[in-house]
Amino acid sequence: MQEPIIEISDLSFAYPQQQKKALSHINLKVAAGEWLAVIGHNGSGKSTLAKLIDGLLTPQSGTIRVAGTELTPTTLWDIRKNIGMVFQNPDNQFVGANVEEDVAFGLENQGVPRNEMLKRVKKALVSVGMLNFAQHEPARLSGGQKQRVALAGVIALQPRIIIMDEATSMLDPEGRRDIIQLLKSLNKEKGFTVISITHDIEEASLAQRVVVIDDGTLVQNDKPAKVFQRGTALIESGLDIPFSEKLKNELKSYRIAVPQEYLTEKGMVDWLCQFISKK
Amino acid sequence: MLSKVNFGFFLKGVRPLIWLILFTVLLQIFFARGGTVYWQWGPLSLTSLGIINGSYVFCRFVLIIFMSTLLTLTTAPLEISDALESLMGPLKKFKVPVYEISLMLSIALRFVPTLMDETEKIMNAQRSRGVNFGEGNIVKQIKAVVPLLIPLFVSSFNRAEDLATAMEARGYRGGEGRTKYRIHFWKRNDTLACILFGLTMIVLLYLRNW
Amino acid sequence: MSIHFEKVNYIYQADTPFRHQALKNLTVSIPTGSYTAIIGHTGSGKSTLLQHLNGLLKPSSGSVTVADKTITAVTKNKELGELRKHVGIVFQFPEAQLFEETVLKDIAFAPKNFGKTPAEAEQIAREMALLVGLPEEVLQNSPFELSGGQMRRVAIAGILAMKPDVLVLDEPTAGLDPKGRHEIMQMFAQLHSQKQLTIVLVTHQMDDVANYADHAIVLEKGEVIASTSPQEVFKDPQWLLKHHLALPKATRFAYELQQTGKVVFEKMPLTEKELAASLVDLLGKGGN
Repeated sequence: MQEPIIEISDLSFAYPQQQKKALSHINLKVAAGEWLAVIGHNGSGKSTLAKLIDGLLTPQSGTIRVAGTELTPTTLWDIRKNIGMVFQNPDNQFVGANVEEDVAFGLENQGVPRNEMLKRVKKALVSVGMLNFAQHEPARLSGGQKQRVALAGVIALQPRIIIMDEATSMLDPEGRRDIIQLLKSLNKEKGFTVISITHDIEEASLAQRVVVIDDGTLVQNDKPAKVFQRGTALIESGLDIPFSEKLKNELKSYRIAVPQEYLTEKGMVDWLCQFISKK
Repeated sequence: MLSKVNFGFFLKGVRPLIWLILFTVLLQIFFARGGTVYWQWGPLSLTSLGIINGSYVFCRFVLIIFMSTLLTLTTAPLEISDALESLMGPLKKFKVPVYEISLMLSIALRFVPTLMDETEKIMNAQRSRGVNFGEGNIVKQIKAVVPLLIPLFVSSFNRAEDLATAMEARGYRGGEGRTKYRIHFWKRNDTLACILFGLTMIVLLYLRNW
Repeated sequence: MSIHFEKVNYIYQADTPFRHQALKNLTVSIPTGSYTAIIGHTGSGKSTLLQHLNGLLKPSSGSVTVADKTITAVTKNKELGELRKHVGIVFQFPEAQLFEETVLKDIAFAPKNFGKTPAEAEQIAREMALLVGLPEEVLQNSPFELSGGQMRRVAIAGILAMKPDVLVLDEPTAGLDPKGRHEIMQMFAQLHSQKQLTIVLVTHQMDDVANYADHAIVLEKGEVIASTSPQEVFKDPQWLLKHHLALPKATRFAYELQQTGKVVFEKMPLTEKELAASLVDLLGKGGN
């Protein structure tokens, strides 16, 4: 692996007044430019991990390094400049009175001069396709549009890492597809490192690597294909399995010999075609 | 007129308060004493001073309503909050968190539609559970408000928490060192309005002393 | 409990510049005892239609008939109470409606409002808590201390406690994780089959429509563009594409497979089970 942009070692965290650890002994490296999915059921600790990386929570033990710098109270604000976060509820992160002002919020915080701000806000709105909505108030936007604005706010700050903390879970399927499409291009074309915290298996399948968190511990860290092979074990830890795996399970119950390894839907179609031809 | 506001809007602003104004004016007219007495019946009297006071009160009311109508029609709430911030500017020297107050105000304004929406949703949910809002005696009505207010409080607190986290993640650490995206320009009309206002003041002061 | 909409129009803010017609001359029936899915985009009129089901909204013109009650623009609000008892609505993110000190009291809220004595209401609340799978030990806790999934169950129990004949569900699994989603949907399916509850499900999840519904109503811009079986709705991919609607995963996969020219499905499968079964069938024939 090339120089990791995020390096987490032996990280543990418990919320105040709670006995049980929300996360225990997490070790994880994220490479620059990678797309990493973190999956786990609600309450597994996956969102806690995101908040720890951004310094929004302070760990009891362990270290986090972002772009070579260790996260401490003194380096916190500089580290946050490397990270942009989009949260779950589209309404509760919209600070500005309208779209452009919301995108500008982070820039204002960093004390960016106004002329520069105007340029960056415009550019960011163009890249999420929301320029025509610059003057719109949040009440006139759909959930998906609000999340795109949130992404524009992140892009305007030019961070290296984008963390999506279940940012698609409250959207309708169209809004979700939209945001995922956008993320793909940000990752592939603009080179952002993407960490997507999710329990949407389709979203996770787009990642280069998937980390499974269950009850505060990291149980798997591998390529999506390997993770999806666990099939029923995933279901047991409260997650879903991709459609092709579900179909394989059904076929298996008819005593059809299906391949062991994970197949994408396309792969499954190909395999079935071959299988039928052979008959 | 400078503001390009239809005169009808001003009258509309007066209408809901017309009874209050008339009542106060009548009180002034019939109960004030002094000057020439025109008519008297028991405690009621019609005097010259009463009539003058009455017309003053009337003018004041109408002016206040006109002014506030003008302000709300020409100026967005956010601009008012901006204006407050700049007016309170000097207070920064006394460690008053002017910037924070203005941000708070602007966020509060931004969340008004969101909360209205939320209120509507919760009302619908509780109506479906058999609550009748705005029906029955006063005790019943007050009772009906509880299932609305508690969820509203809870959701507002949750929102506030989420918002605080999101703001922190976006690098918000207080007013210091922040730049501003939204700025206001001084236009020719502003100068004109100031001059007109100043002239009126002088004329009024002159009339008063005269 | 049959539900019938007859030429219903609904207009928001009728006499203002913001006038918006959400339902247009809508005529549709929801069969008694059915599991009806209502599909459509955001803004298609789904939530307006839903609010007509228990009289939260009254039609601007036309009429809505639920069992023997007919609601028109002039129906008095007082007459709607009876209707609300029969039609329970679980709104989107229903945990937002919780407010009582304890879980039990919150579930008992609706039955009390509809005239049950506190003792009866508590009895019902206990039954419902059991029905939705809440553990005994949380019943005396504050609902706000529970996890998101459990809060959702409390809210649902609070509606079931009205013992409605029609249960309306607006995106009941939104925000839950896959396991929670599956459990809740299974629970509704059971209620439907065991208690003959009529269920109206508003959803974006085509897989839920395929797996659970026996009737589907498709809305677009305030009008009904289809009211038929899920099988019929999903049989024409071109039509769905035109109306920006998705296919269930199994159906989409079946079409992809069909595109290769190797297989032809006589009847399009809607679920994985159906897909696997018809594949096995095809393979069997191929082998002969």
